[in-house]
Amino acid sequence: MSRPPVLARWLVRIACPPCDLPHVLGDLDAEFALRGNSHSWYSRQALRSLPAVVAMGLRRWDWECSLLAIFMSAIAPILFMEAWWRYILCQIPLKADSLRGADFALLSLLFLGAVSVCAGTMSTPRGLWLAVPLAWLFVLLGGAATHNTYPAWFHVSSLTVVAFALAAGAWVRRKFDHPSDERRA
Amino acid sequence: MAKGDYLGEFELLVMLAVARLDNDAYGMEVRREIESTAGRDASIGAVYATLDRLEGKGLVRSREVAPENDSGRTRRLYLITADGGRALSRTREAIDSMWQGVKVRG
Repeated sequence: MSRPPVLARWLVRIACPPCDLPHVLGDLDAEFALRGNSHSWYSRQALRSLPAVVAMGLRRWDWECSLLAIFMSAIAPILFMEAWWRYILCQIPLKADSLRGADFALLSLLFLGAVSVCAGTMSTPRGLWLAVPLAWLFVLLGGAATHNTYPAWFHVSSLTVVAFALAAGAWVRRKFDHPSDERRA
Repeated sequence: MAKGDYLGEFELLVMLAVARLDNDAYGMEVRREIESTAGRDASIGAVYATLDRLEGKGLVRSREVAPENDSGRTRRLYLITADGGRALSRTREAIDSMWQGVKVRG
């Protein structure tokens, strides 16, 4: 028996609110079998369903926490990096390059990790699929906006920390989530 | 009458499909009913989103139906509420009134 198209199914899984996901996927799978495992029908249905199910999630305030998580995990560290950089320049401008070393990087990464873990606890696991790439994008844009002077290893470390910390936060949420949040989580 | 008391075109189709299906108004059955009766190829996502919106307005209600056997899946059955019935009647009256005296050319 043929299986439904993986990409189309994955897109629905990400976009659809969790409480409706079993019904939408179940219906799609049942109809897929009835229609002789038509991959084109399944893909068309999945793609056409995306705007509606995303809108349904937005109407239920299902995405807002994830979007807030993205901003928390990206904007706050960028502001922190900028503020720290200005502070260093004010204090010891001539030695700024040497100060942008391990201490600053470690502190920044710790801060970034802490904020991202908090952000991850607010995000749904589904939201992470959107939050991680967007947070990466914001971190890269932030690096460029704040003088673009940070070394490549710092950017790579930042991206890694963001991804793992967001995932860790989401894991914490799932582990200790309150049952009343089940509908959204 | 408030603007929200009327049903949109697709909302009306979904409500009528739920009404026609009576106690068999599950998501995919509603989609099939719209496709076979109205000839409109709706996506399953649009049907669920519309049912969700109608439920938010109190025009339909839903309940989970346990699977008949171990290999089955839980399904969500939709039913029209009393408010939903009144909204359908109002919409029909409004449409019938608007059609009176109309002569369509072409």
